[in-house]
Amino acid sequence: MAKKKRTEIVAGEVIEKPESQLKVMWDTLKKNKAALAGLVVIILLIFLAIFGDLLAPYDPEYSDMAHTFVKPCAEYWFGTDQLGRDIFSRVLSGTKVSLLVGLSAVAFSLVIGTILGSVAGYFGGKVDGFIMRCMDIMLSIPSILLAITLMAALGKGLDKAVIAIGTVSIPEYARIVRSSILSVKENDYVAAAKVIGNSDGRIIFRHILPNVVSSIVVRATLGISTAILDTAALGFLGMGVQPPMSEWGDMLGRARTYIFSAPYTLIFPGLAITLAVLAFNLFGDGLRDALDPKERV
Amino acid sequence: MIKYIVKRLLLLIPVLFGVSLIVFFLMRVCAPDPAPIVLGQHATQESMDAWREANGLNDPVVVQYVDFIKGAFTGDLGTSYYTKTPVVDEIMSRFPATVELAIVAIILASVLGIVVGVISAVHKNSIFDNGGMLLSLVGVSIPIFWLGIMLIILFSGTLHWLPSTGRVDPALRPDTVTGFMIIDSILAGDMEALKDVLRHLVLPAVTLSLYSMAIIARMTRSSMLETLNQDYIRTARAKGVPEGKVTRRHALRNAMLPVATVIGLQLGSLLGGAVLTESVYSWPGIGNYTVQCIMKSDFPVVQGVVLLIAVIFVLMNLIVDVVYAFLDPRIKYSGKEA
Amino acid sequence: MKKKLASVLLCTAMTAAVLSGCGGSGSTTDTTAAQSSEEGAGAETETTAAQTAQAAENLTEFAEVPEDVDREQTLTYAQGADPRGLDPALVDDGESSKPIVQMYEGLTKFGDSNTEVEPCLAESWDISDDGLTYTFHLRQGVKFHDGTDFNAEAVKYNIDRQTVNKTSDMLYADFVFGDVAACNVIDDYTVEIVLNKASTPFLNNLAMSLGAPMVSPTACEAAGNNLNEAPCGTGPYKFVRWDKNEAVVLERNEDYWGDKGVSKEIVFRTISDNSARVVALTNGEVDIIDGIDANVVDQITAAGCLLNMTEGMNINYMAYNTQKLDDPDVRRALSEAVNVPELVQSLYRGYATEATSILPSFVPGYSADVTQTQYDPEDAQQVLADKGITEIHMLAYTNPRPYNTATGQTLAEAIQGYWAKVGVTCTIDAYDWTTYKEKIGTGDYDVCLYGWIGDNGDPDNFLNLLASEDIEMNVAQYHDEEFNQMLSDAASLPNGDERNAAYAEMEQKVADENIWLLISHQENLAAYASNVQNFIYHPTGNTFLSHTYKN
Repeated sequence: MAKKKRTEIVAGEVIEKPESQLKVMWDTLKKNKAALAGLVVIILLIFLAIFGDLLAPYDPEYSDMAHTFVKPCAEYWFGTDQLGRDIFSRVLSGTKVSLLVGLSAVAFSLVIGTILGSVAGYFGGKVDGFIMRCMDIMLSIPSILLAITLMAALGKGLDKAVIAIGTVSIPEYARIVRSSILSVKENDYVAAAKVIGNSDGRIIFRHILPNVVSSIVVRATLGISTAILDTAALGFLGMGVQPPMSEWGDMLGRARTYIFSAPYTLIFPGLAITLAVLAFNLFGDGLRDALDPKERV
Repeated sequence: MIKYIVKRLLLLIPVLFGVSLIVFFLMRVCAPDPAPIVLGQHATQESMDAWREANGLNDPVVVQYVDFIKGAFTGDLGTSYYTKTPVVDEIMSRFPATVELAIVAIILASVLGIVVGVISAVHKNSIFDNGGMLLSLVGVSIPIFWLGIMLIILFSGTLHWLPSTGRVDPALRPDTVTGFMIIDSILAGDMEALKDVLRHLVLPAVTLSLYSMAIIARMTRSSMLETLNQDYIRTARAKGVPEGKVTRRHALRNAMLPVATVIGLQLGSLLGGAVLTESVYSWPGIGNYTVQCIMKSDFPVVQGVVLLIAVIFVLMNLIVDVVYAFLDPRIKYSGKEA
Repeated sequence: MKKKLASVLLCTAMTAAVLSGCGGSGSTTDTTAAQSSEEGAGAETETTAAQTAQAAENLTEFAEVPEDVDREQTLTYAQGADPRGLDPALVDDGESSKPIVQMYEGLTKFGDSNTEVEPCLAESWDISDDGLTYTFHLRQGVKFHDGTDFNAEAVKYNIDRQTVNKTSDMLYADFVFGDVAACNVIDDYTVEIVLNKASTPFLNNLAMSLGAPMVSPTACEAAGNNLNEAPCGTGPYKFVRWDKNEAVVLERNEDYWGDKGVSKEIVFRTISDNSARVVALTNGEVDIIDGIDANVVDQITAAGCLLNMTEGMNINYMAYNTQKLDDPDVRRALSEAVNVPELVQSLYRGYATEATSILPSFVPGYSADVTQTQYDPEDAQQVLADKGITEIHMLAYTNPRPYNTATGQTLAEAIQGYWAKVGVTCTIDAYDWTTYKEKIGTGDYDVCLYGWIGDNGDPDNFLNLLASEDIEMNVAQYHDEEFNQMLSDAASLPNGDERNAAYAEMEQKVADENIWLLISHQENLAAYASNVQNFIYHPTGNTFLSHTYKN
C-alpha cells in the first residue's frame, strides 16, 4: 500500500507543475488516432476489469461437468472449457487479473527502480557504482528466465507473479531515472535548493523527479504491456494463478492439450491478450510522441 | 580500444559472481527440495536423507556455494541430479539447437525488418508505412506462444505442410560434426537432410523472429527518417542524385548504425529468451530444458545454464559496443560505461 | 473379457461421438471445428471404420512374424519426454523404461500382455519350502552387447550392485532387492538368492523393467557405475546413440539368443507437446505414439491411424488426511457429494475407467464385489451441514500424471465444483509436481490428489501404501494396526485364492472407512499408423517392440 501512495505523489507532481505541458500533450495525443483507439480500449478494459464479473453471463468459476466442450453458440458465446465453464465469462474475468498484475508489477518496479535510480544518480560515486552493477547483473539474465526462476523460488500465486514480473524490470526504470537525474543534477536550481538547505530527499522528490516524470510515464505505459505479456507467459507455463481463478495465459496453457479437439478454447484468451497489449502499446507510443517527439523508436 | 575491451571483460567477473549468487540462493534457499522428485515414487525419508547427504545438500548454503564456485573455476559445473550427466555435457548437447534457431530467426528478422523499415521510411505515411508499422506493433503485442500455437494449428494440423516439432527426421539426421544441423547436413552433402532441417526450422524461426522483426522494423524506420532529414542527404538530393541512390548509398548506410545495435541486442535476448518458442515447438534447445530443470529443482543445471546465458548476454553487448565503435568513429570510449 | 469390455467401451464412446450433433454437450466430434463441415463429415465416417479395425486387433500375445516382412525397416516411437537415463538401476520413468526393455532383460519376464511371471534369462528356478531361498538356473550361451558372457557371476554382480554396493541414487534397489540377504554363485550357470523374509512378489520384482534388468558388469565398470548414456544389456536391440531431447536410436542385436527383432532400427523420439506428437503421427513422421489425451482421439482416427487401449496398472485417487478429517462420517459425506462416474466420463472421456477398487482388474486380488461410497448429494449436504463442514483445503498438482492425464488441477477444480453444490467451499492450492511433493511432506492439507503407478503387478504393491509410515506414500496418513497386520500376513501367503481374498477384505475395509476417494484407472493409450502390426501395450506401460513391424 505504501508503495502505491508514492506513485500517486509522483503522479501528482505532473498535474501540479507542468500544467501547460499536459495540455500540449493532450492536444498532440488527440490528433493521433491510433493512440486514441488504444486509450478507448484501455478504458474499456478497465471498465471490464471492474464490472466484468457483473456482466459475465455465468459464474466464471462454476464448473458443470455435464456441459464440457460446448462449441461457441448463442448460449455460450466463446464455448465452454474442459470443466464446462463459460469461456466468455472467464475471458471477461481474466481482464481483472491481467490488468491488476500488469499495473501492480509496473508500480512495484517503478517505485523500486525510481528509488534506486535516484539514489544512484544523485549520490554518484561508490553508491552509484554498486547499484548500477547490481542492475547490470539483473540485466544479464534474460527477463523471462529470471521471472521463471523467481516464480519457482517464490511459489505460485498472483502476489508472487507481481513480484517476479516487477523485479525483472526494475533495472530499466533505475537506468532511466538515473540518467535523467544526472542530466538535471548540475542545473542551477538544484544547486540553489541545496544552498537553501533542502534535504537530499526533498531535493530529489521536489526538484529533480518532476523533470523525469514524462519519460517514466511513457516507459510505464509500455511497461504495462510487457507486464501483461509476462503474466500470460508465466500462466502459460503453469506458474500463474491458483485455480479456479481465470487468467488468460493460464487458460491458454491448459487448453493447449485441446489444440485440435477444441481450438476455440485457445483462440479467445489469446485474442484478449493481444488486444490488451496492443492497446497499451498504441497508447504508450502516442504518449511518447506527444511528450517527446524526438525520442521515437 | 583494447584497454576498453579488457576493462569490459574484467567487469564480466563481478557480474558473473552476482548472477551465480542470485541464482544459487534463489534455488537452494527458496526452491523446493529436489530429493522427492529425483528419487521418484519409492522415495522414503531415509533414502532422501541419504541422497541429500551424498549430494552435499545438508551442508550450510555458504559451503555449498564455495564448492560450486571452486568447481566452476575448473570448468566443472557439477552433474545433473536427475540424469547424473555432467552439466557441461547436458548444456553442450542442447546449445547448438538454440544457437541455430536464434541465428536463423535473427537473419529472418533483420532482413524482413530492415526491408519493412526502409520502405516505411521512404514512403512515409503511405499505405505501406501504416500497414508495416501496424504489423510491427502487432508483432510486439502478440504473445509468442499463442502465435506458435496458431501457426501449428494452421500449418501442421490443418494444412499438413510443415512439421511442428523437432529439428530433423531422425532417419535423415546427418552425422553430428558441429551440432548445427544446417552445417552438418551440408558437410554430409545430404540435400534431402538439409531440406528436412529447413522445413523443421520454418515455424519456430518465424515465431521467434516476429518480435525482433517488429523491433528492427521500427528502429530502421525511425533511424532512416532521421537520416533522410540530415543536411547531406538534402544536399545530395539538391545536387540531383536519383532518389533510389540517395536511399541506398547515403541514407541506408548511416541509418544502419543504430539498427546494427538493436540486432546485436536482439540476438543476445533471442539466445536466452527462446524459452517459450522452444516450449511450444518441443525444440530440443537450452531454453525449454532450463524451464524443465527449474521445475524439477535440478540446481546444478539451472546454475550452469543461467551462468552460460549471462556470459553470452554480456559478451553480445560488448561485441555490439565494439562493432558500433568501429562503424562510428565519432564515438570515443573513455573506459567508462557507454 | 477385459479386452472385449475395453473395445465395447471404446466403440460406445465413438458411436456416441458420431451421433451427437454440433454444439452438443460433451461431444468429442468437435475436433474438426477448424476444418470445413464436409471434411468433418468425412472424418467421422473414417473414424468408425478405423474403430472397427481397432476392435479386431487387441493382441493378447505376439503373432508369428511373416517371412516376407521387410527386415531393414526403422520403427519410430514418439513419447512425451526424454528418457531420464538408460541405466535400469538409476531411473524411474516410463520414458526411460521403454528403450530399456528393448535393450535389457531380467531373470524373469512378464507375459506378453499380463503380469504373470515367465522365464527369461533364468530358464527355471526352485524355491525352498520356507520361501527364503531361490535357486535360479540360468540360460546358457547368452552374451551382453559388449561381448561379456552372461553367467552366475554377472547375476551376482548385478544383485550386489543394488544391495551391498548400493548408492543413494539407485531408485528401485530397495523395492526390488530390499529383501535380499545374500546372492551366492553355485556354479557358472546356477545362482542362489537368499531372502530375509518370505516374499511372494519377489519373482514379479525380478521381471520389472526398472531395477531388475541385468547389465553387463564390464560395461558398468567401464562407465563408472553409470550406464545412463552407455547402456549395455542382453536384449534384442543394441544402443546406437542418444541425441538429447530428440531421439534414442537402437539397432537390432544380430547375436540375440531368442527371436531376433524384426525392425533393423528402433527410434524413440521425444516430442513433449501432446498435440505436437499427434501431428507427428498423422503427418507420418512417426509410427507409434503414446501419452494420448482423450481429446485428440478423433484427430488420430480421422487421419486413418489406429488406437490401442489397454487397462493401465495405476490408480488415480483423492486422499483424505485422516489426521485432520478424523470423522469417518464427514469423509463419507464428502465422497457422496462427488459424482465420480460423471466426472470420469467428462474428464477422461472413456479413456480411463471409473475405479471401483484400488487394484486394477487384472491384478490378482481384484474383486468386483468391493463396494465404494455411492453418489448421494442430498445425504452429503445434510451430513455436512449437521457437522458444520463448510471449508476444505485441497492440495493438487498442476501437471498431467500417468494416472491422471487431465492434470491434477483440472481434477481438483471438478471436485471443487461438486462440493460447491453441497455447500462446501474448497480452497485449492495447486503446485508443480516438485513443489507439490514438498507441500505434501508438511501434512498441511485436508485432502490431496495423488496416484500410484504399479510396479510389479502384485496387490501388495498397491495396498502397502496405506501402511507406509512415510507421508509421501501414505498421504492419507492412515495408521491402522488391524490393516497393517492383515497386510503383512497377506504378503507372505502363496499366490492363490486365500491371498486374493485377503486383499479384497482389506480393500473393503478402507472403502468403508473412506480413506481414499477412488477416481479412475487410466488406460494405456497408444496410437499407431495403420500399417503397424503386432503391437502390444503391456499393462506395465511398456512396449516390447522386437516383434512389431510395418507392412
